[in-house]
Amino acid sequence: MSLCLNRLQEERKQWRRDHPFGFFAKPMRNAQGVLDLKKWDCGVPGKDKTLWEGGLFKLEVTFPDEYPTKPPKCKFVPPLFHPNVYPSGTVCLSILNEEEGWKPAITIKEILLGIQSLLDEPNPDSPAQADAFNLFKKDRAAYDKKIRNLVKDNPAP
Amino acid sequence: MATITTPTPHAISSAFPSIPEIEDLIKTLYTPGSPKKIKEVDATLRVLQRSVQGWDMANKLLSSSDVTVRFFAASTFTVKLNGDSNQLSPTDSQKLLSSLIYWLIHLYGDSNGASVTKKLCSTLTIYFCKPISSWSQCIRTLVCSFVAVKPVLEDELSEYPSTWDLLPSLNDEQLRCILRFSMDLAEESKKMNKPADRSLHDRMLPNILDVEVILHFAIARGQQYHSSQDESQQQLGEAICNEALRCFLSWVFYAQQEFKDSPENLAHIQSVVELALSCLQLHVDDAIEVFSDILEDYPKFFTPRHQEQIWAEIMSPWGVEIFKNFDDETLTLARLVIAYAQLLLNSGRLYKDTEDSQCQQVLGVLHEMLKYPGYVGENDDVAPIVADFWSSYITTVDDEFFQYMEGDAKPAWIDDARAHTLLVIADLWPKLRFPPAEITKEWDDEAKKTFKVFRADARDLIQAAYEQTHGMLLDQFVMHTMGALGQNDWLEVEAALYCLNSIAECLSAESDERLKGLFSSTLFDQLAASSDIPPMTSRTAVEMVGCYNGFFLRNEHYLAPVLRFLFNTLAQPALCNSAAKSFAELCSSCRKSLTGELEAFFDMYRQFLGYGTAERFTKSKVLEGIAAIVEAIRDEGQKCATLQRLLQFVGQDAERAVLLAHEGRALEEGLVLALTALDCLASMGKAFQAPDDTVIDLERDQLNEGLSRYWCSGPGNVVQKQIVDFIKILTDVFGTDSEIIEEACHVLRSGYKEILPGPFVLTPEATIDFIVHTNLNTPRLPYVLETACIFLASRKKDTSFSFNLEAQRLLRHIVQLMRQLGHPRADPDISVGLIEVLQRIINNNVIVLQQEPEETLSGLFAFSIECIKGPDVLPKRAGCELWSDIFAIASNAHHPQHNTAREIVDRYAKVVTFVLIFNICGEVDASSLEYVSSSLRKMVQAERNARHYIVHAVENQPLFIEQAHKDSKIDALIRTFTEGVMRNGRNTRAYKETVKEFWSTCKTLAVQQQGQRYGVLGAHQWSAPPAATTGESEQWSHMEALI
Repeated sequence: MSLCLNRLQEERKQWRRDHPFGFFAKPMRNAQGVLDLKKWDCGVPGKDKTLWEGGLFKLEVTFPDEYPTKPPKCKFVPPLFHPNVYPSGTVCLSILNEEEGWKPAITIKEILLGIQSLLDEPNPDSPAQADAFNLFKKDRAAYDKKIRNLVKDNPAP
Repeated sequence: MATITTPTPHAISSAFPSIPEIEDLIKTLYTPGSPKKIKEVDATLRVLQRSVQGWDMANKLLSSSDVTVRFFAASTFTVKLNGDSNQLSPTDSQKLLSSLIYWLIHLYGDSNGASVTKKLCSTLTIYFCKPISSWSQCIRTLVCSFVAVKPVLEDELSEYPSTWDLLPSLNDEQLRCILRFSMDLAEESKKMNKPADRSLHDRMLPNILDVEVILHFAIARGQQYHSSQDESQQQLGEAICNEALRCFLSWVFYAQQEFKDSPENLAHIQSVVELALSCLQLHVDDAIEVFSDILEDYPKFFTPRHQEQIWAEIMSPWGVEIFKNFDDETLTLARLVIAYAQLLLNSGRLYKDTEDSQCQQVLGVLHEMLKYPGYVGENDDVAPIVADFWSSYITTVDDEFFQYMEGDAKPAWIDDARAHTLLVIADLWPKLRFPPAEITKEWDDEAKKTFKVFRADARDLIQAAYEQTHGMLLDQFVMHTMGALGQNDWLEVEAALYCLNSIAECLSAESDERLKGLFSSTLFDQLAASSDIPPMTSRTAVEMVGCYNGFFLRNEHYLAPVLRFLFNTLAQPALCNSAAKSFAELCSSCRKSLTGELEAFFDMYRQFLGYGTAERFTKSKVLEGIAAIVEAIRDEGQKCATLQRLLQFVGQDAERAVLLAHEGRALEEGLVLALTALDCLASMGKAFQAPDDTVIDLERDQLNEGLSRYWCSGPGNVVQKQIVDFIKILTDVFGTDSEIIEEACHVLRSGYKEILPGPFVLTPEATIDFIVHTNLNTPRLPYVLETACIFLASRKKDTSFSFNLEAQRLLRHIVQLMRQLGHPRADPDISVGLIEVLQRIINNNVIVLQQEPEETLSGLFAFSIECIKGPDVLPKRAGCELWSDIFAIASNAHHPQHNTAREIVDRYAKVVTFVLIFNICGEVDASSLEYVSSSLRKMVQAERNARHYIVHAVENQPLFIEQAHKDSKIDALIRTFTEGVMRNGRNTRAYKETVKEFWSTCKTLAVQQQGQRYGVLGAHQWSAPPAATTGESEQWSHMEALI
């Protein structure tokens, strides 16, 4: 088995053994019903005591063949209204950037926790979508209201 | 800490303070008082600790009668060792060791100063780990020193009897002190695992025999005391055993790291196992945990014989008694059992060896441990960890089982494994059930969370179990549900539904037969009719509707009771949102079979409007459901008429909203109603979208044309007009609210991706009218512009004259907004939207540009060039992408817009190249470099003068303008870059590397130039580039190689 699949198998075990409350992460099944270890279905809950509390946001995490040398791609499905999420849904986060903060030792748990923190702490230096970034800068009250609606539309079970 | 800047140290006399003065300072530090003063004193003491006299000060303070002063003194040794030990000569080092031992053997017995003894032990281990130390036989040194009541250093050790012979002379406190030191020694040394420095681990080796001897001796002494009649003696015995076990554990993990290839060294530690095991029966506090820790993290430490012994202990009367007691110790023992079982699971023995009596025993115990009375979250802490193990068992079996291909003979063990899996589900059953309300109402958040986490984990377990058990498990759940329903046991029903939901996503049409009994039962009618249903049962039932959507789609005649139940649940505030969502999904999935029931749905909706829960979200979802059914009506006339009736509901909210606004009262209520109306329209539009899997017959052009006429200009037009009017009126009145604008866009967008005409597939004028009414003050303008982009993309193939007229109106509005904005910096996010709309127009409808005056075009392109030049990331990227597209079209002779793009390139390529190069010369940040670089590459492919433009641009950048043609190195740098870019145009990787190297060099050069300008650096100095990843010298040589 390749390094990538070995590592993903191990990640899966670790996740089963210990994962943070409210999150989920599991390999998807392809059309034939076979597990595809390189594509995971994940859910990140909003952090307690933030605007995002009570929401659960779904992501597709795709691991390249070169994983863990290269980082996985994390994409909100459907795309999320957030200053650091590209219009395609892809998350812009330094630990997911091969040339910035990615290290092979970073686990799926750490990635998802990192994304959870990003929800309520957008990074104004790395805008990825004009719409959310604009509202975040210009009209914080409207931005907050929008987030509350997002939470309502994506409730945690 | 070399220097202290803040806070300012407490004023001290210029001479070193006297010991009494220092003692006073220490006492002040530990006495409550002004935080400012304490900070100052702390700073002063830190200075004193790090001073040359620090060693001497620590030594003197250790003789103080005050325990805090002695503790501070011991800490000072640690601070000095960590900060200043490198300066010690070998003689000083020996003196220091002697001194530390002296204090340990004199202070160990002080009952008030246990913390001082601990600190001295850890200080000695830190000393051992420092490069200045040559100390080797540490444990024996301390034993001999205790016996001799003076520090005995290594050169004198041979004068003393063997350690084993000396140990009986140590009193209990001395023995405990050595155990503590030995534990610290293993832990501290384990941290020093750099491959470069092995000398420390060589010095550890002479201690192995001593630690083995000490552990044997200490456990034996502890056990002897424990068997005494005297209670205090028993306690002392337990304490000694505990400390010996903790020391043993540290050495086991040290051995794991260091004795991998040395079985003879490992054997010394392994020799303690049997004696340590005997501590289990004595109920020594930490004994079970010690064995669990080793089994979990270093199971290979135990030989097979040891493993048998551990299991024998667990199954002994001692273990059985603990299982019976169901107290804290049971939880601890459960962990040991699980660690043991995991070992058997990892080897495959646990499920493959079905005849193995020990494995059967282990599995039996694991089943039994799920049968304790009580509730998770309340008093059963065992079930969660045991369930966790079973989850691991089931997934391991799943993984193994999946390796057998279909048609392969299945292994014999699978039936046994499956039987265990089914039994686990049965064991878990009572644990998944919500406790009675009188118990849960007392629960705090922690208890609720524990129960919730347990259920969520169980859900994963059940799903994994389904992989092996399929229909058997489904039948079991259905049976449970029916049984509980028959007895009106609603909490039991809830647990059964929860389990059914867990496996829903694994089921397909093949399982439908097994479910029919359940869904034809009175389940949903009873749920709708009873008033005493616990809320959690209703919630899980609502969730079930969502999970089993597929079943109802395939078996539509089971729908009616479900919909009645959902409608009923809409009245409950806690459940209305999820009920409304499920209602919409169900109606959407089963729309075709529900058209005959529409009248009943209208009645129900009117009834629902009377509920307090009829709000924006619920209304929009319920209308979405009903609209989906309307969409399924085949006759367009009937569809149109029914839709109009539905729109009346929307109209009521819209009218009231406008009325309130005109009267200038209840503004917030008016806004909410306006939002509700638009949200309902958007949801209805969504309901009218063709399902993703619909087969569309594109051949039926004539029919489509007829449909188009029907909705756009025929009788259906009245509906479209109504929708457009709603948007127009509500945005006119409430257009300053960002959500109104967003919702209006949602309504417009709902028709964009439709291939067939329909009531929500509005005419292009509708979108363009809306957009041209916006201005720079319109909230969410970037979202509006994004809507314009999606609109243009959806009309990619529309080359009609009328559409081009609309595209032109849009272009003119974009130009106007750009003019009003003046410069991209005025609002970078709006600029992004404007550029992106322009990009879509150029790709699809470039013809409209030709009809604009020259001045307008110059303004447009100048704006896009300013975007690339400016510092804002998103406009820069958008500008680059726009020009990438223009260059790409210009270099593709087959593109319908080729000629126009060619003209634009001829006119602007030079200046665009200039700003692209400006960015590559160090301006752009790393994350946007690719956009710039890609645009330049497209320019190279499209423009025959590319080389000339690039050279001109580079030479005229501020970075190079003074040196070009004067400095040969700079000329060479420019030449290498230009050649690389021109040559590698078709080789993506080489091209990117060329640009990146040049960019990185420019960034470095810019820093150097800046340094020279401010006289910070000498002419030949080279500063590290900002955010550089390579070292200074590396950068320089890299630069020279380039030049």
